[in-house]
Amino acid sequence: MTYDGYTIGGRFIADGNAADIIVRGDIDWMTVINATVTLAGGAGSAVRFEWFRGLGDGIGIVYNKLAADDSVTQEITAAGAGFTLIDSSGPELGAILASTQIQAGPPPVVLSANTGGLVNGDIVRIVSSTNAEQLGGVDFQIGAVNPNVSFTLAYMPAIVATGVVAGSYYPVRFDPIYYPRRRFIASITQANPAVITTTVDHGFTVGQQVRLQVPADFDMVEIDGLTATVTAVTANTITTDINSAAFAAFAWPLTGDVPFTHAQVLPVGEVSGTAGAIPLSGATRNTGEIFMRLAAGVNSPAGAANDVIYWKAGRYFSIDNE
Amino acid sequence: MTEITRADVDDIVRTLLTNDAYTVLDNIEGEDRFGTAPVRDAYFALCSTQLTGDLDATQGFIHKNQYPSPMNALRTEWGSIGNLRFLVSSIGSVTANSSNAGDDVYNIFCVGMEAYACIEQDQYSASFIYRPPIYDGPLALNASVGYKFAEVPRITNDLWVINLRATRS
Repeated sequence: MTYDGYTIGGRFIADGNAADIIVRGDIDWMTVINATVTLAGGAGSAVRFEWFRGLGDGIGIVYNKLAADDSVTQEITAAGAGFTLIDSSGPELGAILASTQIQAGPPPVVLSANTGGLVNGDIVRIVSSTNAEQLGGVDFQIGAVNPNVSFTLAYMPAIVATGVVAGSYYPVRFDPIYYPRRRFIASITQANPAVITTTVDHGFTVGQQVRLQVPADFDMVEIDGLTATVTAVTANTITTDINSAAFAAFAWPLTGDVPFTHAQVLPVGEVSGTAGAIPLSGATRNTGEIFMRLAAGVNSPAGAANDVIYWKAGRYFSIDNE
Repeated sequence: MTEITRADVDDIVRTLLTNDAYTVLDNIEGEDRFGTAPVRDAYFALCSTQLTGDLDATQGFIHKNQYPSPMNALRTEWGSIGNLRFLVSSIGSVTANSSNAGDDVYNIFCVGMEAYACIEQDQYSASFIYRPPIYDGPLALNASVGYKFAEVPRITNDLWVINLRATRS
């Protein structure tokens, strides 16, 4: 316990992308120094960045090295080029957005005049989609984003959607904080072994055990309630030790079948691969974290590729923002 | 309709019984008291305080003040329906905007005896530490509080835990 808050720091090599600096607790200030630019002779780009509690999201104070005498000038970064403090245990959903149509696919295509900054790999939660209500309440990973025009529900098979399907969706900002997580099922093969595709990247690992919940609305009733061991994975598929070759085909319900319970993969435990070993890969754990997202670029705190970046951050004992 | 119904409760109880889950609490015998009713042996149902109105409106609901001996009710208990006794919390689980219509969906965890356990580590579970000002600085200006814990909650048998998901009216 200390009176003086705390100070933490570190260093990383930039890879040209935005950098997430995980901090051990909430912070009130952060300083970032680009050592590569600082050490380079002559005029250059930004050498130092500062953030203080009270600044808006995505900005910061930047010190630009202007001339051969290494003098610097101070200004505010461009919007989105600075710091954003994020708490992943906070509200998981962003502001609701409207869609005008969901095309059948595969994969289904969502038309939306405002995609709100979504990029490939983001997750959305579909709600209130007239004539495609079978998708309501389900999280989907998206791909092929055409900003302010459309995106695909990347892992979904074709759906039955007739006519204009106006609706809404929420960007899902964070995964549920407790790992491993239950996931919605997009499809299950009729094969030995059965391969399950989830609607988002699942995060399961080989050796974990899952229980399958597949209500009668999805037709493959034989697999409902079975426990499976994960034998292989890709980002969005799980290979199981279940032989589903003789099961009924998995099929999504139609919009008129709502309400129904969705097909899900529920993590229930794990098996040990080595006698006497303590399996921990499936241990339930809280993955919530507070981190500072540093924007990338020569005029941003995460710098350009191969820049050496030093940072320090801390929390005040007392703060008075009037 | 996706609010909780008596049929939902019956389905949960039937499933837990079929999965050989033991009830957590014994029955409360009926007594000759006006306005009371006997309470069945029951599983626990853990849910949000936001659902109390819907619980009141569910067929067969017995509020804890109608128990023959209300002192047998737990402090957080709201009442019982069939073989479920509902314990409510302001931090009960809710999944935001996840119904088809975009409404919040409340998770009601229905559990049998020993369905889950807390494994303590390092010989202690949790500590809430308060240091009064006199111990926290020479001028006794500031107190401090903190907590630490070393325990791992685990599900011991997932067949004895059922998540009943419902919206609220």
